[in-house]
Amino acid sequence: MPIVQIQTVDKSYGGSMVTVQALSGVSLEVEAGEMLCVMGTSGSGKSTLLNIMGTIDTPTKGRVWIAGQEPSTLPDTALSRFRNQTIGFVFQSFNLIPVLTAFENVAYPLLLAGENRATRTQRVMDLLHQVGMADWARSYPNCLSGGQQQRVAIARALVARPKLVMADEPTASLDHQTGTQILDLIQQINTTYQTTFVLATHDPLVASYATRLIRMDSGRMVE
Amino acid sequence: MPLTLAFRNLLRNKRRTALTLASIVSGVISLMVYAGFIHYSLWGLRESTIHSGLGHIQIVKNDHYFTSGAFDPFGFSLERADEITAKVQSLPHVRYVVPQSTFGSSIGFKDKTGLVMVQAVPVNTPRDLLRFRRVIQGKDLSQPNTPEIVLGVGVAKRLGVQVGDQVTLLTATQGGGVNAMDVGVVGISKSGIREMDNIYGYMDWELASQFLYLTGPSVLIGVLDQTEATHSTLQQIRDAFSQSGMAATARPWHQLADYYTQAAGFFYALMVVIKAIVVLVSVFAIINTITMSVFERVREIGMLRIMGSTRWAIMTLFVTEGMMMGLFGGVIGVAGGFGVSGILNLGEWIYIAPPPGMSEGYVAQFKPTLWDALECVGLATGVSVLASVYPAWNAAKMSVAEAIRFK
Repeated sequence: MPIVQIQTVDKSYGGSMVTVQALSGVSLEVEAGEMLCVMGTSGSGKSTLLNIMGTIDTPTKGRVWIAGQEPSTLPDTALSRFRNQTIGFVFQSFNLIPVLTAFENVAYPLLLAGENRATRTQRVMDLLHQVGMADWARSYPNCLSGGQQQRVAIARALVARPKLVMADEPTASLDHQTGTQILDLIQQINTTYQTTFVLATHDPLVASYATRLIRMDSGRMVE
Repeated sequence: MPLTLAFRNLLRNKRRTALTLASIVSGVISLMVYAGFIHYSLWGLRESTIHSGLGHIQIVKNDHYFTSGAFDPFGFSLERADEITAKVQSLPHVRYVVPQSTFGSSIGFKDKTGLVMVQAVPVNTPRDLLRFRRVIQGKDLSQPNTPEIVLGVGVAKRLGVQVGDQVTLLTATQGGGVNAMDVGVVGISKSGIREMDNIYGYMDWELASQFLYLTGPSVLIGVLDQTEATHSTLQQIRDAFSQSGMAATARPWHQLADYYTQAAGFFYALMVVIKAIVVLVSVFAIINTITMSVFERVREIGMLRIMGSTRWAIMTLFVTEGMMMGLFGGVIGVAGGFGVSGILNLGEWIYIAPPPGMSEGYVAQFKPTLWDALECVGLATGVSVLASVYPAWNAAKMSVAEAIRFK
């Protein structure tokens, strides 16, 4: 069974005066363990598609199932829990919480999941080791480089052992070498844990790591 | 971690947090100082009222005395006064019980005649019941059953009486007859209340009793070792009366002290107004701070929601930040309030002019209580929580997708 199923989804923004059609009739299935790359220029709708797959936005029309659940039917508390346990997110701008250390940032989803302190510590430190950030566990984000922040963000996205990770332009703020290291890390996690990755990018380097590629243009899937 | 997160968020913009705290702290300090002033003033007024001959508890024949006694004091003479006195005297907290009668009389000196209200208590009555009056010329009453009188300064001035002069009292006795007596003026007193000084004179109760042919005092005045014991002692007195079938009733001082009640009402009403102003200032400061904080952290709110925080958790985070500011502001303000009060008390800089009806002013003292402190901390925290609800709700209802896109 596919981990993501999208059926003829439309998404429009705006009010009665001006409406922007971000997605038009998009249908897509993503299999578990896939590393799918959504490519397109700025404004093509790839981020909107990721947001809908990540349950942080809802379609104007059409239906979406993630891991067998239809998120639009869930109330806020259940949807928050579902997001916490099922989906991880990595963003171009890292979005680490500036007042929390690297350790605390990674531990936050586990805290929301109600994991005890011992489990939290072990899993967070394991992941920080894995992404090469164990020595910076006590550092605050403003003391870390872009690449280091993105590694922490990846650890945070994976700590709750999600089935699906959405990565929106994960290397866009990084230099080529750091970007490559991050992509290697993502590929390694994908291979090791069979975690499904959906990456939105316009960077061919990112696309070269994908197991499948789709292209978006003006809100439509073109290939 | 939610508490840690809230606390660290407060430290993010230290200047803004400090400004908000400053507005809460200054409000709490002013509340503490004002509450301290009210407590001291009302305590002073309470004690001076009680010790102006009123006592803590008054025992009379029946409740009608308090409405009709002034016109017919002899109709309310207490029977078995000695027995009642002994009974009440034996209760804990009761320091002493003294009889009192007040009667109106005409007073004549040379070619002048006036009216005087004579308050008669035993000459050996402890001074603390009569603390309200100071003898400013001559001496106080000292010999029982001796024809002596102390006149209020206003009465003496009106009649042109000096210490050592003889005045004539003419009054109706308990039986309805008329009696007259020459008494020597041994002293002139001042009470601090102009109206009292203009009308009152003071004499020994035994002398008054013989002069008026009294069968008993109209009032027994009970004085306690502490005002706070009034309620419990009153209850014990009432129980004792009902058990022994004594035909008497008792009332506490606060039911008899109209001026005190009015003054307390005025002070507390003013306190409510000041509290309202402080609350309003704090509310605006907190709303502004939390709103700014929400605006600055839109993406962060989005990220917290993405990680699985519910709307409720986001709301709780911002309300907790407001609560912490209120709590810290309250605690610092309370400490500051005690500090400022202590400094003002040491300095004795603030002189309060005589209140209406009084002839003497006083140096203000500030005595905030532990209860004031708890109330201020509670108020600051509660107001801050309420003030942060609206901006916190705005943060909580934010669209996650829009929040994460926010630049």
